[in-house]
Amino acid sequence: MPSKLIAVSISHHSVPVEYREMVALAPDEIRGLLKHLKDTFTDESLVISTCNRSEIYVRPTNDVITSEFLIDLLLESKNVPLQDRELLRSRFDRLSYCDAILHLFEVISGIDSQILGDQQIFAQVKDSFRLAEEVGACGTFMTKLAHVAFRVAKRVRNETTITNGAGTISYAAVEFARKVYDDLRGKTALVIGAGETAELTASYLSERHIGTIIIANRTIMNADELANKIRISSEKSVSIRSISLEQIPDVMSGVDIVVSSTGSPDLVIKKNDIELALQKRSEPNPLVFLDIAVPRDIDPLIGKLPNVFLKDIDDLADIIDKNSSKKKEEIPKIKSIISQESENFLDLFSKLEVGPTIAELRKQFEHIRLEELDRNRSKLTEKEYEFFDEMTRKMFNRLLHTPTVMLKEPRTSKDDLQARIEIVRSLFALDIENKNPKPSQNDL
Amino acid sequence: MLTVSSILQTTLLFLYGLLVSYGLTIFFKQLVSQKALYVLTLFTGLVHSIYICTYTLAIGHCLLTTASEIFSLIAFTMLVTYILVEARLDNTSVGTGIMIMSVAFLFQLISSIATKRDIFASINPIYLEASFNIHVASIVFGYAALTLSTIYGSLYLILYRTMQKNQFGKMFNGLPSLSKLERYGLRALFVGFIFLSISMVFGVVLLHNNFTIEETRSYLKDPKTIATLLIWFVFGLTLILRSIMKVEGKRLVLIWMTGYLLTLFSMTIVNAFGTEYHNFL
Repeated sequence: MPSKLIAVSISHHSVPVEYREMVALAPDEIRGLLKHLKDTFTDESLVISTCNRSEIYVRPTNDVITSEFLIDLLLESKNVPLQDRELLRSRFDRLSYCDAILHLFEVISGIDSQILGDQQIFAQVKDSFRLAEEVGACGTFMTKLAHVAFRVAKRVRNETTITNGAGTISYAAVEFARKVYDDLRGKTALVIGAGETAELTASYLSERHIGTIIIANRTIMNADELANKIRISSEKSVSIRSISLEQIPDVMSGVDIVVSSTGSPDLVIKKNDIELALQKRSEPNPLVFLDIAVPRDIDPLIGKLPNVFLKDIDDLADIIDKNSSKKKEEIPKIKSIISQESENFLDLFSKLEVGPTIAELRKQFEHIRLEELDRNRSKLTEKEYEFFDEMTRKMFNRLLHTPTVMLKEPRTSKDDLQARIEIVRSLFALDIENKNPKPSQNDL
Repeated sequence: MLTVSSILQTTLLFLYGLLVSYGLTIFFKQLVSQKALYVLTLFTGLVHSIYICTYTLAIGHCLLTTASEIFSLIAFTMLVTYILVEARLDNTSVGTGIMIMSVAFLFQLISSIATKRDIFASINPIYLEASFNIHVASIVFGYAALTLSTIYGSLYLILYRTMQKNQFGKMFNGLPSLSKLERYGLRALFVGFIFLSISMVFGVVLLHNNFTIEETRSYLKDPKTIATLLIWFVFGLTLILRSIMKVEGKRLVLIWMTGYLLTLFSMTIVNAFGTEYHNFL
């Protein structure tokens, strides 16, 4: 019998950003993968891809869908170079059922994030569930799981202080810039991207009274929209304008800080562009590049240029990590919330499974009874048939009474009910109906 | 009076040592109050002022005549400058303060060790002239300011390296920003350059008042004069590079650090083979 939920996860715990970017998925890629999983292998799945992690959660319908299968599926879909696959395979976490649920709750609560108490992860997981729902990969199980996961996140936010204070990579980026330039007045920042991270970065820069913010984005309309949004909330002294990505080389010579957070799979800023800009710069002060995108937007070779600071997401996370001792004190409280909620979820889900299991069991017994009655019908008179029909019904009811009562009984220990359901389903072969053909990687 | 000044001198050494260790405790463990550190800094400044007054009354002249007196005065100047420029109640000033107080402690220690020999040294009548006192006082302030600028420069280079190596620990959190360290260092450098210039002008006045033109010409070949001119030139060049050629950041810091190393090197050589003052004094 396949596990009720399996998950594979690769994150900042196991690999640095240069490997994470190989398996990072854009929203369209997530949609494609979910659709492929739904069409071919399973009814319910969820894909989470953030700067910190790439994860797939699946409700397998047969034994063929294993963790290894999912890892290979992801590596294949991202066209990961063959020489890197072995290493990546060894760095994936493989989780099943309870562990997978606990892991998801830890992720959404922000305690598994690179920045403890990350404030963006809730929205990112919510978006992942939305994408799964969009392609129809969110059935009863995933929907219930989503509800409980969101409740965990809300409880963590309300009952603990882990999300208090600055807990985003954008904050870390701005803090790093302030360690180079304490006074941002008169400085110019180029914010590349127009998503949530770019918005947070622009807001932090504006709060610290930066002179000019230039927002660059592939779609200029989105850049304009973000510029207007920031303009409304910031002081008049902050000058804000928007440009397209193609205009970046033109403004680069006047820029002091660059923060990039696009979803682009390719480099947005290359070393050659910067070398030219550095030659044109009138001010000899350092140029700060902060790449908080996965995959990375800024050519890592730029970091080797003189008078340049280049930091990626992993470097910046360390800034906040050093200051998170107070947040670490909240972890036991959060783990207790996660434990309560996961037990409630398992309980609820097990109860939801009791009814269908009893129904299936009774259906199977009834099917056997009727089959046997039908087989012997010619040998029996009408009266005898009625007698045997009544007798076998009563007999089967009595036979099924004990397993039914046993299943409905209040549980005595953790996972006890689940174990009982599984025993019954296994003893009476209730899952035999899964007869899907063995899938292959080439189906992708 | 001499006994009081001796007690104060020992107290001062203890206070400077306490400042360094207290600063280190805050920097690494952050268990004690920064406000107490600030109060202790002010108290040390007060005790040092009283020491200077009592010593002056006991000896009968300012703290400018011997190397040990000058070292104590440099320590005092550094402390006062630190209080005026930076010692506020935020943790970023603790990082720079530890370095500054360590150097001040070292200068005060040298001063204390050398004092016994100096107290009974004979005093040249020229030491009592106003132009001599201004000449020596400005060079003391100048060297104190240049020492401060070098401390800021060293901290700049340490923080720069820390940031390049992603070591976001105590140094990263405890020091001010790179631009602030550069600004403080440049300010101190500018002040040092001005005092060095004043000292040179009064040195010329001193020569003019006490020696003939022929004697003055030969005295210009004095190693200490040449070393000071060289140092003045290097720091002047740094300021020119900053204001005209717009050299900034790490490159500028490296230039002024080279200047200070040159100061240390030339002064060590000159003092090793010469007298405490110029050859002609």
